[in-house]
Amino acid sequence: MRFVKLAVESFKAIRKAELEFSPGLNVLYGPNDFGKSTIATAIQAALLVPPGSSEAVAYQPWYADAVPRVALTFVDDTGRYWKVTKEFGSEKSAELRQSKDGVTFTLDGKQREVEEKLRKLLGWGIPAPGGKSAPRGLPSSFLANVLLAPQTDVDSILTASLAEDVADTGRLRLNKALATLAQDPMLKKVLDVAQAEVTRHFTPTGQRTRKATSPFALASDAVKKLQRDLDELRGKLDESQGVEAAVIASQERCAAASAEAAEAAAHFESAKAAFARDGARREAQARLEASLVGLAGIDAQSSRVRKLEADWKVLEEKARGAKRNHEAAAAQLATAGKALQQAEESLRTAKSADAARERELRRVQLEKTLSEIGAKRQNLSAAIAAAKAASQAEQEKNAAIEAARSTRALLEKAERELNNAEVEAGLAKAILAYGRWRVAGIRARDAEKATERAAALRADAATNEEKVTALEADLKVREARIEKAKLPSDETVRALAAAERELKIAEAALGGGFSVAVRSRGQAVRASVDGKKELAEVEAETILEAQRSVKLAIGKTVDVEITAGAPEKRRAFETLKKKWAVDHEPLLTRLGFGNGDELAAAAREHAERRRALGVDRQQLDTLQKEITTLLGSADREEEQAKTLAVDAEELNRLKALIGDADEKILSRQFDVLGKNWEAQAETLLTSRTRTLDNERQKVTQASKAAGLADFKSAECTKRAAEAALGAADAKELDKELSALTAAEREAKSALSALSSAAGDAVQKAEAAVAEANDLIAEMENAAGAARTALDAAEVAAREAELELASVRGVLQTMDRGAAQSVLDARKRELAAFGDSRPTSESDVKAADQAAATKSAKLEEARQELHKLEGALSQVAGAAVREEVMRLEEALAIAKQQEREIEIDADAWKLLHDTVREVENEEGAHLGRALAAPLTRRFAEITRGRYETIKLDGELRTEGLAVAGVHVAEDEVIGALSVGTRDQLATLIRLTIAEQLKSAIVLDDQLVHTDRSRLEWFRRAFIKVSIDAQVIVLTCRPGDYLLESELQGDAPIRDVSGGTIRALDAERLFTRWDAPVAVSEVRTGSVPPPVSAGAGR
Amino acid sequence: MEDEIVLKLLHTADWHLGRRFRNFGEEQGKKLRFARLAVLERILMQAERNAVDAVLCAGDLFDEPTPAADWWEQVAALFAKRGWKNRPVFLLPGNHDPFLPESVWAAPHPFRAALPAWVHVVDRPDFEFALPGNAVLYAVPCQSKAGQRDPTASIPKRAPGDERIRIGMVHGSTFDLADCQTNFPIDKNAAIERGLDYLAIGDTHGFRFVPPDRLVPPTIYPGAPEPTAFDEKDPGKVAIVFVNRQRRAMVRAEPVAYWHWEEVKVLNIGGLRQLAKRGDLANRVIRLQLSMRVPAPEFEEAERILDELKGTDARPGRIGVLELDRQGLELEIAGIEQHCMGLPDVLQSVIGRLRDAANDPAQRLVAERALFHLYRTARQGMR
Repeated sequence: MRFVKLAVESFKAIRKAELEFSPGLNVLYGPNDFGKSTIATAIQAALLVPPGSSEAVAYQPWYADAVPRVALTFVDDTGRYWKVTKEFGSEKSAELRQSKDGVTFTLDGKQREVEEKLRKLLGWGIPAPGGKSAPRGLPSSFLANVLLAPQTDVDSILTASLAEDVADTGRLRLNKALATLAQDPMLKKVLDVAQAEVTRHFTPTGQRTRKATSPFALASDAVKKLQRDLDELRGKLDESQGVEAAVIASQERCAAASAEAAEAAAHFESAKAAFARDGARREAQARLEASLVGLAGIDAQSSRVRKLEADWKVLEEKARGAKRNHEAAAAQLATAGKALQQAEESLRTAKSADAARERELRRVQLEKTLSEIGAKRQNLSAAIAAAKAASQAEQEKNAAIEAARSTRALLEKAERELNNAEVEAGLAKAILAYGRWRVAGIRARDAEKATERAAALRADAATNEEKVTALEADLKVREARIEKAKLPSDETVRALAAAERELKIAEAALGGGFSVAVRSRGQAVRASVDGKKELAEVEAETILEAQRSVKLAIGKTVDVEITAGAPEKRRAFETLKKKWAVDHEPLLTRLGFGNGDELAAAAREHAERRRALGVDRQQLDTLQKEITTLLGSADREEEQAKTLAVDAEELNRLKALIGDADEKILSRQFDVLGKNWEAQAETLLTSRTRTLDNERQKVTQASKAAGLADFKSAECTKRAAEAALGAADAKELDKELSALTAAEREAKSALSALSSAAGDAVQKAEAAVAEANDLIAEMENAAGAARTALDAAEVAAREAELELASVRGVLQTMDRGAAQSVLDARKRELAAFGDSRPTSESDVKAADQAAATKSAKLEEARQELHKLEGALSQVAGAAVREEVMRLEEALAIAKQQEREIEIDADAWKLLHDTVREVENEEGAHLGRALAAPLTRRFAEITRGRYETIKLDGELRTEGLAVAGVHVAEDEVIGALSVGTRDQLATLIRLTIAEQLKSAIVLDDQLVHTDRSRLEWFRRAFIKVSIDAQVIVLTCRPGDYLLESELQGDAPIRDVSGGTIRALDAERLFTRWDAPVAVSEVRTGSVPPPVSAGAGR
Repeated sequence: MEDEIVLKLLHTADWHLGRRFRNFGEEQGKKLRFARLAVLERILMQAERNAVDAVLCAGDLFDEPTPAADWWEQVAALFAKRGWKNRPVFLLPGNHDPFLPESVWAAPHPFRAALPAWVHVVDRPDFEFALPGNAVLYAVPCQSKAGQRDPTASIPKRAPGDERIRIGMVHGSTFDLADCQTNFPIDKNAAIERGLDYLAIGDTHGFRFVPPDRLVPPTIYPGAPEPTAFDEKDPGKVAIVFVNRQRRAMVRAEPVAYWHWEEVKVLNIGGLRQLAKRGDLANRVIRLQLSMRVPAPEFEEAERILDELKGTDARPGRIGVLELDRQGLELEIAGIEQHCMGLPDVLQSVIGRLRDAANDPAQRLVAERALFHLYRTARQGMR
């Protein structure tokens, strides 16, 4: 730390004073009691005393009721400027400002914060105010005492100890500063290495260094970059995994829906099949029954043929018997006729002619009657036979009609089945056509959608192209503008700014203020102040107030330029100014900028424009890429649309092929068919067409059978009608036959009576004739009966033969073996159906409904999957997953490396801090550290009289060795003379200040020191002041300054080649007891020489 | 001769040109990146040595669809310097470098123009190419980075009477691999289903028969010709395929990799010494995991060996590429005082304090390392 400037106002005896210190040795001289010690007090007040402290009472001005003010500017060990301003008494205010350049200050803290911050900055072992251990009044500590001790209190320095410090900041500071002086080489090596590592890795405040090149920053940047990349990739991965999971879930749903749909379709097919099987089973049952009936009919027909054959054979036998009877009766009749001829001859002989004639007439009548009866009987027998034949024909007609009806029923049934088959085949054909129409429709719609998408993509591309055109035009204009600007490089701008800043700092360093009194003796005087370019005419007598420079033009003959500041600073400023004028100003002028700030602002703006241009150019590239992508997508869409396109004519043609089938049914059937619908539909159509052909054959056969049956029925009906035409009622015929038989018996009886009336011969002849006639009659009856029987037998046999032929004809049309085979086949067919539960039509409908629902669900799932497939093609998939894994691995490694670096650096810090801590706690080195240089210097002063000086760990003087004799601590004070004690105390203070590189204020030291030792101290002060600022307050300037150096005009003078700054208190201070005129000093300037020192 | 070989192929995949190896640091990562290009020369030499009729490159040849020009220019130059007019090469886009309009495979891309006429890019799903020996190649490219359809489904089935040798080439994951559902899943029986005599596939980085029971016709992953990770099984090969007149394909794996990736776990200083003695480290990529607690002298030796293995600013490392996990390398602090005898009192006190600090689990690692720093610095000071 070093002091830069002190301004005091209304402070004890001083009304106003302003001092600027040099970094080295400063000698402030003035007579006794002039207020030099007040300067030391003011420094103490500025650094240590809170405005409200009781100590501040002593700061009140001696002769006025004014507010004591003090302002101290100092530089800390890091080179930062601090300015503390305090007002004591009634105002009580404090303010701390800081600055990097010593010119521009910013507020750092106020009031209480000021003390806290100052004590931290100083590190003198004084705790912050307000705490338990906070000091009341003037705070003190070992270092405060060493560096700012009031007028000589030699003994207090020799007995002072760090142990009395309330806070340990002073000890730590000393430890740090003195550590290197007294260490073991090994310890030093360890500390050096550790310190180097700590310096490499940590800031002075112990934070890890974050410079761009530091290992932490590099490792941390690597981790951050990997983390950023990983976060970005994880975002993509999440998106990708979301889509992938959705696709997988959708696939599973699709598979489940497909399985369900297949199951439902299978169930429906199974129900349909079961239903169809039930129908088929019923039909098979009916067919079996029909076969049984048919076979029974054949068997019945066979039986009937056999019976008819037997009947016919019996009737044939009967007819042959009747023929034989008839022939026998005819032979007996011939015999009886001969007997009659004989009897009649006998009779004619026996009888007269008349009687015989009468009897004969009677007999002829009776015989005529009998003959008529015989004819009637014959007719009656024929009628009875005709009636029997009609009855038989009627029975046959009825059987034929029944057979025809049964065959017709079979035909109708076959026709119904044919009709069903036609409907089924039509439906199959319609399903196929519908499927083709629907698929074509979907393709057409997809084509339309693809065309629409292509149009939208092209529209987007066109929009982007417009943007690109506009942006390109804009970019050209902006690029031209940037090109035109032609600003210098950033490096030049920075160099110019740095030069300007340097110039300003150098110029500011000249500041301090002065006034120039101008008294013209007739010539016109023009002047400019503080670098203003234009010179303005001034009045004849005027005082020009300036901070840094004044230019005067006196008439046309003399130009005077007065510049403030120390010579080296002025030279530096001039050098910089020339350099500025040569190196930078022409550039600024050429570019038309007033100063470097304006140029820097323009350069920043220019850079910003370039950056914005870069961003927009990237945007342009992005847009152009987007256009390519959009057009590529549009091409693909259009290509797809072409591939999928179906024209309207084709659609209409396909639609026409569907016919008038219900589309809802077709749609459901189509959905049920699923993926391979076309093949299935074609198979179905083929199967149904085959069924249709079978049914058609069946109808043809049934139709033929029905035609035959109808023919037979018609024939039988015709025959029955013909038979019925001549047939009478059989009962009536029987009655007629009975009456005829009675009439015949009566006629025969009368004939018999007629015969008995002739004599015996006659009687006998007549009896014989009668007997012969009887016999003939009997024979004729027998012959008639035999003839009738023969006719009847022959009719019956002929009828039986006819019936037999008819039945045989029917039987011949029947194939029993085939019928039996059919029956067996139908039995097997029926048996093949098994005993499954019957399926109703409602079961089939329910299954159909369920299948349609599942199919719709499947379609829904497929649509969803299709959409997700589109999304999937846009994500990064496995590639990003792998990249994330690689990045995670890399990140883990980078973090491990970062941790490794941290551990290593922390380990160095821990080692360093631990070594320091142990050292501090053991503390021994402090005394050793100081003792060596102290002993050396003390030996120099005392010319080797004192060999060693011992200081303990608390820096208390422990003792010294004089010519081999040790002087103990409590004897040191008594052992040395006052002057030597003073010199030893000064040496201790000086050595500590040197090690701390801190300012030290020595107020009237070494008053008991002889000339030679003073000369030694003067050289020592100069030497020490290379590292530490030394401010000597003395009433004996001759102890430090040569006679010639005391002769300067200025109150502040840098002498001895710039190694010493002489400050003349008499000319720098304004005291309260000074005349009033002197007090009117304007702020910012020192009083003119005429009034200086008036307060003495 | 029924057994006469009528067709010879070289099957490779997964070059991943342009891949970054970010867990190895910039310099080491570059070695591995460059190696991906260098191996192509050896692959093409294998093709020449075996006098193959065609070279099949089954996808993921670039690590991304739009690689930097440097990569594709070198690939094109590699082909251009060969005059293989009768040995066609087929480049298939994979899931890392899918065929996209802006990709390196697109017709307007300068890469396409730079390729010789005998290098064919599979740029459509119905790609078909007649090969010598009455053979035909069917190939299906990836057109996106993810997909759920089996690419082999686009290959037509063998028609009745088709007696040609049918070769298929696709890129994707067979059904037995994780996440295959969305990474172009390939049915393990695809070769049989599609009537192929050999199915060349890419994606997995290790050489592998699919299915593992080596049923014919073979379906093969040749793996990455240069490994890309430690967990890859049997990488670094290409497949040489021989097909006889009976259409029977036989496969031989041919090593081409320069780098050999290896994971090494060292449990004591002896193991580390042994590793350091090995003479084959120059072309090794080693993941070295240390798991040992050693006293200070051995710790120092371990550090020295590690410097030797990984190299320093002034000296190249003996291991080609090293990934070092030293978290398990710990200092045995018991008895450390014996190794630090002769140090000044202050440093002895420091050792005591650091030992105490090492008992605090939160500070253990830092305190142990600090003890090691002290030990080593002190030893260097004594020399």
